[in-house]
Amino acid sequence: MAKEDTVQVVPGREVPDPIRSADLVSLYRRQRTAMIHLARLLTRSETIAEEVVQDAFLHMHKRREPPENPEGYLRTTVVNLSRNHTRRLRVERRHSSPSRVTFNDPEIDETWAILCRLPFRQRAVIALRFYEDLSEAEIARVLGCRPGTVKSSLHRGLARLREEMS
Amino acid sequence: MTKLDVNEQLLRRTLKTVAERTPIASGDESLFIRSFVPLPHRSRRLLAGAVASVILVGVAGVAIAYGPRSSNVPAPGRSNENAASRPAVRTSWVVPIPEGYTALRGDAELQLGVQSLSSASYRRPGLRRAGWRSGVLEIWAPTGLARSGHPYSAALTITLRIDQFGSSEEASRYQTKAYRSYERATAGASSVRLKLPGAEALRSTQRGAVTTYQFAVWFRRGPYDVEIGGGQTLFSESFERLIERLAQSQYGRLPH
Repeated sequence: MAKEDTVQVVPGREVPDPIRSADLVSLYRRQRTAMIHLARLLTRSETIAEEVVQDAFLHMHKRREPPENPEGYLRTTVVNLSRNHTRRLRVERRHSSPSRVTFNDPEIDETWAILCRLPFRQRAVIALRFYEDLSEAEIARVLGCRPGTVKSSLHRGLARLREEMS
Repeated sequence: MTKLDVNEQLLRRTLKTVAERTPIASGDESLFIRSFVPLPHRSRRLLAGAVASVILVGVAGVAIAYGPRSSNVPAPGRSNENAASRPAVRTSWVVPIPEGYTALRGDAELQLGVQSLSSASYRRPGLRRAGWRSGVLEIWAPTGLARSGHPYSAALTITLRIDQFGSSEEASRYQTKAYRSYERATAGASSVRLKLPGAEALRSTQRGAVTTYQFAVWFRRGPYDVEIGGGQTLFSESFERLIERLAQSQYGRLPH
């Protein structure tokens, strides 16, 4: 892992990076852990989550212009990369069984198992709504869909949860 | 807002637990699952070390009881290299080393071998024009090692530490051309680490108990280290030493 403190920024000197190194490092320090937490919920894997978040920061670095809302852009990138990973995983799973991770609480085990079986969009909507506490409009922006789609995905996901938990 | 008629508190608690807390994996995997374990590195390493020791002792016991004897005669059904012919790993190899492979590491389930680093012109004509050479590195491991969720799946992450660049900017430029890259070059650094997960190998071939993984390797000048390992380095050798070892083997070929 690249050490953050090895990135040097000379005061008063314009940095030619698309997004200034200091800004990127600051964003990295502020958001990396939170984004890994979100990516864990979306990818269901800590290892993949860390890779996804690292890739998301690389995407930030490669942008020609810094995004207006770096946090929002980063979150959207993490969601998109997690979605891409999930698509690839479908192919891999034809040849392998999914991982089995449990917690000390049977209720949590059961709820998480059901969440893992949800389609990506439904799981993403639920994670963004109930973990990130985003509004439906904000979730729509992150997922690049209409608010109505968010609402229906949330409804279907919760219905499935309710059905399987009863 | 959509009405929530499931237990919202439970849902929130589940999401928070999964995202932020340390889980306990079920069954035998509990000691090995590295996913969702936000422990400090030191604790994780200590745990991994303890687990590896337990496995090593167990496998050594099994190997001593059921493994090949110390004899010049290969055991029936074994390949040209086996535990008996390689004293350094005598008690470790469980799956026979496939013919043509050089043993790299054989602790318990973490059995890895490399076949060759042959010349190849796999894609990237731009890199070749710029003076880069490419090779194909083949690694074998017991089938199932790289499966998602396998306790050792992370072990098959291939890390190539390549010191091939004149500046961090150049490293960064080339890094974007790599298959996937996870670590940015830092200011002033002339090396960059590229991680190629097993799932993103060029090709994997499964033959019974053994699966081979093929990786493209790009280099411009030596030496660079070839490391195999995810959270921990399972094998590390300089490029030149690896080439030397491969050249000494029957199947190894020097890249050109």
